[in-house]
Amino acid sequence: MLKRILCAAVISIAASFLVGGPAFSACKKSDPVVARVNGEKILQSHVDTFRASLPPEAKALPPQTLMPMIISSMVETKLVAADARRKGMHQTELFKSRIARIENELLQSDYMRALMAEKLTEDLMQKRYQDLVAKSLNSDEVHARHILLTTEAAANEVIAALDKGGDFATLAKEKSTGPSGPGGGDLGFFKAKDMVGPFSKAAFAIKKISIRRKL
Amino acid sequence: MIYVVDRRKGAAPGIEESRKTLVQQITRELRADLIKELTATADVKIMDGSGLDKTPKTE
Repeated sequence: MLKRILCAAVISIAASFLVGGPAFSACKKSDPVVARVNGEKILQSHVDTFRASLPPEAKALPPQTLMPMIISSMVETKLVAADARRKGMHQTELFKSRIARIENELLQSDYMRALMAEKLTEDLMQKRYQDLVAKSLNSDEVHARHILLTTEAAANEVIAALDKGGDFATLAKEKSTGPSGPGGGDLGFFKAKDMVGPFSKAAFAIKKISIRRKL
Repeated sequence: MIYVVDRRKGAAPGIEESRKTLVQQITRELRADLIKELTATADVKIMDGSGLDKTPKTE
């Protein structure tokens, strides 16, 4: 499983190496060489960049386990990439257009990161949070149960059962064709925006508790 | 069929719980503003299959 995660990371990170990503620009004298592949260096900073992009479960592994796996993956990638170059695969128009697209996406991503670092202050965050609080406190929530039926005849049957004192939750379990049926049709509390338009409109239009409606 | 069990006024989520959503929201807004600004000074043409300009008119 972890090997699969590392392989996936190799594929995505390889792209940033190909276009000279931050890992390569971070090379310094204090940056030790951790491997060489046909004379080409893999530096500690490359490994660190790779590690930073891994999912949390992989990052949580002890360094003595994780680092050899990362280095091994990077060596394998370099070997395969070098052979691909020998075959001229890096010179096709398709490959060049893919590199150009990846470069643009990385530039966009770095641009947005820099913009956010400049604009996203704690003051702005607090202001936006206060707006959210005000909006949340002003919005109604409804707790509803739901029975989804495919025909009017089936609906009339359920209405008749309710008129005879039937329990809505029990009938939902027995008759609803919707995913909430097994849970007695219980949808919990929700805001109008949480549900599809017609459903919300119907649910929020019910003013008194315990009124049932057909949609 | 809908059975309304209860109603209440919405509760506000905590700031830490909301942080990710707010950051995404602000990022989207900043990006939209940036695109608007860049588009205003750029020459963008979107063609249909036959090479005719079908750039959406903004004004």
